[in-house]
Amino acid sequence: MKRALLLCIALLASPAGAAPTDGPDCTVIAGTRAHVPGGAQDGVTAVLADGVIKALGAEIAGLSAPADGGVTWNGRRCAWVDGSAAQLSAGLIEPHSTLGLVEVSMEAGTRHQDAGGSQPVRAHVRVIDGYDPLSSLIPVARREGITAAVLQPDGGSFSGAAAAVRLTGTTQSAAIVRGAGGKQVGRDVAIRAHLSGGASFAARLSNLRAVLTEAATYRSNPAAWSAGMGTRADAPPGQSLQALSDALSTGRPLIVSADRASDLEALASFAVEMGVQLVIEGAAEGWLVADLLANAGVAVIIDPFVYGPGGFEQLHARADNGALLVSAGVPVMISTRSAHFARKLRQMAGNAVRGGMSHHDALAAITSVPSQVFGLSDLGRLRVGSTADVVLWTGDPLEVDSWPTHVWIGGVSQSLDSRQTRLRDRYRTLPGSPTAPLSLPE
Amino acid sequence: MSRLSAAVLGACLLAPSAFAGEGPAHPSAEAPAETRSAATSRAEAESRGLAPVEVAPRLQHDPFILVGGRVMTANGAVHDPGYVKVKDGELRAVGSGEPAGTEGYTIIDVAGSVVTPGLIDTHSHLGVYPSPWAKAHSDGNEATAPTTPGVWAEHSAWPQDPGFQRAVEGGITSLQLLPGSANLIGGRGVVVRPVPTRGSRAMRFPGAPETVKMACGENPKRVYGDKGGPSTRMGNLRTFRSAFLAADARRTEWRTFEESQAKAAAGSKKKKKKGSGSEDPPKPPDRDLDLETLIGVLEGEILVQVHCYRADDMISVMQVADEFGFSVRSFHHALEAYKIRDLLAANDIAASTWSDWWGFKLEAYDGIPENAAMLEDAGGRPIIHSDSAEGIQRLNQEASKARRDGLRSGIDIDEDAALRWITANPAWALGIDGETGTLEVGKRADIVVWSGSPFSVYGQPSLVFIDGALRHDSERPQEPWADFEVGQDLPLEGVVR
Repeated sequence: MKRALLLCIALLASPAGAAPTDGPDCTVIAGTRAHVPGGAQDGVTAVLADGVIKALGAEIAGLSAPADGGVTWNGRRCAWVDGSAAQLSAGLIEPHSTLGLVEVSMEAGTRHQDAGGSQPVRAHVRVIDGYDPLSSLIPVARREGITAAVLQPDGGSFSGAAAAVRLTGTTQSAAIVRGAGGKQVGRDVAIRAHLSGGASFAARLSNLRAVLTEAATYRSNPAAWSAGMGTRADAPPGQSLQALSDALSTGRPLIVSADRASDLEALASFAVEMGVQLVIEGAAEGWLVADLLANAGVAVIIDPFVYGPGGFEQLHARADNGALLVSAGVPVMISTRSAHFARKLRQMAGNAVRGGMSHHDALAAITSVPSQVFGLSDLGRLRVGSTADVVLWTGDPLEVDSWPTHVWIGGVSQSLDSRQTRLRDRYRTLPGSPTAPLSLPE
Repeated sequence: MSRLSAAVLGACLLAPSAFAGEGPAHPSAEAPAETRSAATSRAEAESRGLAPVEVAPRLQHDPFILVGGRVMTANGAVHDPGYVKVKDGELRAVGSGEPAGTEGYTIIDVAGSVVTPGLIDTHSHLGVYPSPWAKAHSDGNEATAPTTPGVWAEHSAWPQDPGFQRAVEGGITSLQLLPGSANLIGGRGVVVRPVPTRGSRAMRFPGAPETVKMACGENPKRVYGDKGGPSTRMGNLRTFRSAFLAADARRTEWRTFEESQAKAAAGSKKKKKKGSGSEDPPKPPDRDLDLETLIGVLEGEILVQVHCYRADDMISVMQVADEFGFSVRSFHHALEAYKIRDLLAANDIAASTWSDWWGFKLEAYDGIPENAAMLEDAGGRPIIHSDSAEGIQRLNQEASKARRDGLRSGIDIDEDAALRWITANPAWALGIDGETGTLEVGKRADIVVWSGSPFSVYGQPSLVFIDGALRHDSERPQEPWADFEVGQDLPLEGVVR
């Protein structure tokens, strides 16, 4: 009924003209509630074609319903999806994940986020090289509406280069987030660092400062560095300093973890002093120093599940941390900081709303803000011209009782099956695994 | 007493007056000195270990009626609008529409809200791994031997854990505190009320049976693999069986002693009549805390809670239970319960699981989010537990997700059924289902009033009652219950909002 109505409207608006041509990558999502950058709008129709969002709005020019059935847009035949009673959002982006880097957390041989070794400065290690697009975790996360992730290396003081992938494809090159002209912008989106190597916070921050300073020294004169500082037995590899200075000089962020307000304040000063774009993961007490963080241009990745004094660094954590940070002007992202639990991402955002954040800001924290902070091209925004990584939900994307009915990545409808749904289906009838013998060969 | 389930009755007979709050203060105060020195029965020996020093006061509250809300009873009935009438800590009436006999009751209008039983978590380490995380707070695993059945989680539980108040704010009214899963037999769990007390014993749920925590699979063999073992699953099983063999032998000694003592008592009466001389009294077996816990298991007095992930591991444990004649009350985590849901249902074993945890170790690799729904569909007893200081604050959301994943897979789970996963079913697994877990007349008034649907991420408890006493009101912030939190915000007073 709805469809007929929409098509009537579309037909009136459509130009008379040529017979439809086949358009396998064209999809029309009709009459939905869409979470666009300005907020949620009802009665929106979206056209996905050529991998991008071609049209979005209450009335779409060029839509028609030819007599032989189906739907066309500007003469292209399109798949048609009823979006009424559903909601459309940009695909979710997990900003701090290990998806594709780990298969079983406690099995060391399946973990690829930590380069290990005795040299703590390994900024040159690219975590993307260990990304497995065939990991069973990818379809599990995609089934929950996650279409991209920022992959974080771990360990050491400078763990390596974070990367950004879309949860599709069977190769690393197909998965890496690309920008204009197909440039692999996701290969190297940030440097992950850790406050480590000292007993006190001050010592740890001093270590970070020393390495950044050394990277600048290296950059200005590699030969002098090699002949001088580089001769120390524990000197970081030159290529690591090179990678670090390359990243920071091109504005890529440095990611560190901290929760305590005083540590956050010191980090904000450090960001200004060193001229780096800082992303702080944690920031449980961020609300206490929100203005300082905002003034230093620091972005944060928070955990809305924070439950009070989980540690001595979180004594002043509170549920409306995210809301207060946003109102101070701090770019706020939300993350599960996980691979297996990545599917909790939207529940966490929902809890941020429960804690006082606006729905719009909470959704942005897992879509447009990570895209902006990590330079992920045009991902994470539901608007005309953006990459068509979008999700259609049975209801509110941040609700615990909704789920995705469709996930498109680059306009291509993705399978919502996973190894888990295959296990489920195998065991729908017990005993499940094949216990009956084969029949004799003929 | 009449409200107690069979299992609870067993425990009460075991320890007739020892539970906190509702019995005489200290049994030994009434007992002559000589009977304190030697137990006359195993049951008496057990009851001494349960004697309270601090007695939880009986809570006083004004009678009240919640009216106008959507009342979800967790026993199949939904009253919308309905009412719940409470007096003396007890549910006096539950029904649809307008309540009768309102005189003397305070009317609380909860129109637009949802009223449910208090939530129950079968798996918590609050108190034993309390907040804030600190090395000094690591009291959950007595990882000094692969079996430590004689340790009690109660003796580690810090009643000042700020997590208890956070749990109540999330709608929790009863929970089981458990030792960790490093050990094959980790020790006794304890079912408590999350209420402020000075010692953990006073938190005990009155009349709740004793429980024991066991663990199969990876954890024990990882912890003890290079500490003398066991280092394999087969080693795990031998350790289980050896422990129960020893307990069975000691049980026989206690029985022999109790029989001979009964005979001696009868004999001495006869002899007194005849006026003849005395004989040496029978000597009781040596006390052994480890064995006594396991004897309690064999006797069916102590409810068995087993951490186990894989289907085959659960079957192995069920075989040990069969061999020694006890039953498993609930598997915990039980990520592969869906693979053996027929066996779990047929043996009436509950499965306490999560909505979506998986993959953190190999035995958790086959976890699927439809686990609870598939078990429900097979007539089993799914439970959503937390095992987490964070998760216990939003157990309703976890149940909602588990329900959603059933619906998404075509398994029709109604809201009342999903509500039972965090109320009635955990009550059963803890042996307190005669007392709480549903909104039924005669049960304890453990009630949550939700600001919206408990199945929504935005819904949250606005009022939480335990035994009819109001413990949380979202509109009236309380002093922190935990001393730890007192004064932490002092430097911020008058400085920030």
